Amino acid sequence: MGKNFSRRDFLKIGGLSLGSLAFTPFVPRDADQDYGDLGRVTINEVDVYAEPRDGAQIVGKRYRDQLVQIYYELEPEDAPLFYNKLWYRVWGGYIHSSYLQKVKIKYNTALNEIPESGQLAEVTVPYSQSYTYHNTRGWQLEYRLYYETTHWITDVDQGPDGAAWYQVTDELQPWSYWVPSSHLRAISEAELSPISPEIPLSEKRIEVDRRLQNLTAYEGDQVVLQTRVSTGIPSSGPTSNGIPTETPEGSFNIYSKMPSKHMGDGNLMQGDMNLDAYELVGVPWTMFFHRLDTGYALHGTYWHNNFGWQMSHGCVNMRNEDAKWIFRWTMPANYPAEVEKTGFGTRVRIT
Amino acid sequence: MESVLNRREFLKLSGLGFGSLAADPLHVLLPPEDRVPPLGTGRVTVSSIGVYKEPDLKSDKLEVRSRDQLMTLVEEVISPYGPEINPRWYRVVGGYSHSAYLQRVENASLSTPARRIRKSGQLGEISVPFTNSLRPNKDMDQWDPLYRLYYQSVHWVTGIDEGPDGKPWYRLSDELLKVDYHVPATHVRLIADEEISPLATDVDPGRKFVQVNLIEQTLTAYEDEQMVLHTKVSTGLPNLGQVSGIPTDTPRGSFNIDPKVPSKHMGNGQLTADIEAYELPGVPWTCFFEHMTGIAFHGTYWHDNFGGRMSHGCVNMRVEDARWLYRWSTPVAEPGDWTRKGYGTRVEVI
Repeated sequence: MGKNFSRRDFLKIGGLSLGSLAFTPFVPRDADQDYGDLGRVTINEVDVYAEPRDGAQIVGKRYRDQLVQIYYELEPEDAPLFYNKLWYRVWGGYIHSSYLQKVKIKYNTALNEIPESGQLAEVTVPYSQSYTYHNTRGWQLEYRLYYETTHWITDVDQGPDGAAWYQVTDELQPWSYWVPSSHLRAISEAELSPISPEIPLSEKRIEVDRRLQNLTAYEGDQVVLQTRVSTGIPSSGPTSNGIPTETPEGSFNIYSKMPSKHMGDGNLMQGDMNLDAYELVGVPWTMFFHRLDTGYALHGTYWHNNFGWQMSHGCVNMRNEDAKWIFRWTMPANYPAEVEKTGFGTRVRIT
Repeated sequence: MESVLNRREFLKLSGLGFGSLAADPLHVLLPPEDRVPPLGTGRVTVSSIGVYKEPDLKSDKLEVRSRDQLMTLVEEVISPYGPEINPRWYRVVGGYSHSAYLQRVENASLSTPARRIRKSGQLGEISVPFTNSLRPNKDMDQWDPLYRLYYQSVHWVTGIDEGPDGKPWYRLSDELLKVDYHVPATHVRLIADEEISPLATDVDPGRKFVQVNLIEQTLTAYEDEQMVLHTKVSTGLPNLGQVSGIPTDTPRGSFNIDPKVPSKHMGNGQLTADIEAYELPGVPWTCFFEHMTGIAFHGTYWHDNFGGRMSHGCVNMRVEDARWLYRWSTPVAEPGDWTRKGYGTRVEVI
């Protein structure tokens, strides 16, 4: 396993890319098969209830990253008022929607070449195990990357199973890691083209209502997007880093946009083994709007599904597809995508 | 097929071994349509399990069967009523029982006692559904009951003594408690050296690699990128350790096998004849790989629910899979090794 990489070796076996399943930490499922709706458990464990209500009998448990087939969605009529009413019917009972991420399974063909500046890509399988390569210790486990997270691919070469793997360069930490190429889909330039760039900066604005937990985007007086979000859960006392976890009230401007951001509490080395660590790798479509020293942002969210309710450490959590749309719509335009684009951007008002 | 067995005939029959004993008399109790050769015999491995009207845990529970009862298994049924992770049920006399706590014992048989035992000890596998071990008391004038030993558990046979019935009994030496106990020699099948000879010795040890996937509850063994074993396992069930304080999740990370122990006494380590006590003497084919809390691969004779989380942290395997892994992995264990230490095969738990 302590193989030296060489481009020559890789080219010889490059055609195998999807053939070998070794090290692909995912029991091979046929990507062409329709599994219906699948949910990934995003916390240590979730309960399966006999009926769709919190006090009901618990009939089973599902654990982190297990896939659960969702038969249908329901909102019980007698659900409490101040509560996310969405439940999923699953095998044997019901699971509340808050910690199931809806996922799909799609495999991709490897790119032969990676642009000098890197290639933005998203994960298209429920999870993917990344590895780092050490000259002395060989392949070592690194982060688990999740569905719809985004990453910068910087190289393609032979992975631990001999197939084509991508090198992912983390925007925050100084080392890179490797991921099976079949698990990442390159995001094309066209997908990120700016939306309504002809509208002047002064005419676009975003309103976040913390009471209603929703976000509305305006072009002049016209609503172009309204969606549920999750803002910060107010902290009861001083926080470890001194930054309050309640999303701040006020009027701000987006000043930095990053299509892929490594968030967390800075304990980088914990991220590899401790799945409970506050370590969020590849947060998609991040738009910072507050001050440099606080880091409040709008961004996509893959670790919960409880939009409409306070959930975050201060950021505005959005559904990934909404966050991507807003990323294209706001200024400064990050197009073609760069690791970070700074500038005086679209207004964000938090009430 | 109906016949009344008199005592003499019954005794004759029992000499044929447990398999035939369990199967035939029960067979006549089955409805005519089920009078097919039965699938085999299962031993109840927990205090009690239910016999249900349908292969469905929500259907009527008609009867219960208690620990160590033998049940004739008519056929295997994959139930649409689950449970989701293991929907395997058995059609049994009078209904259906779920497979999780039934140990298949279809190859159970009485063994021919050996005339001699190697001085350093010989590994033996219990070849009957279970056997009650006895231990001479302090004054050596009476036999006291000790552990019940189960089919497929593996023990060190260190001698042959005359048992309470005047027949040859094997002396078993407990690797943990350093005590001896005895079982009838006919209940133990001695394991030949070639059955546990090392496998794939021509493969460089650095090219062997084991990956455990906690999400999928699978174990995969590789030689380079070639898959050589892929099977379901049972890893730790979180939060079982609230009493002892030791986490029962199987830890993630990179490890190496060290040491390997072919027969391991797990559990609380008490001398007791209570069959409900948490005592697991003779856990077969144990390969430790994590030392903080003692996490290992090993064979499992107390459940058949692989694919679901079941353990206190260890990786539970089917006995035949565990024996294969014991033979294939490094450090290479010789047949006489009670414990084989050494920096062994790399293990990755993801």
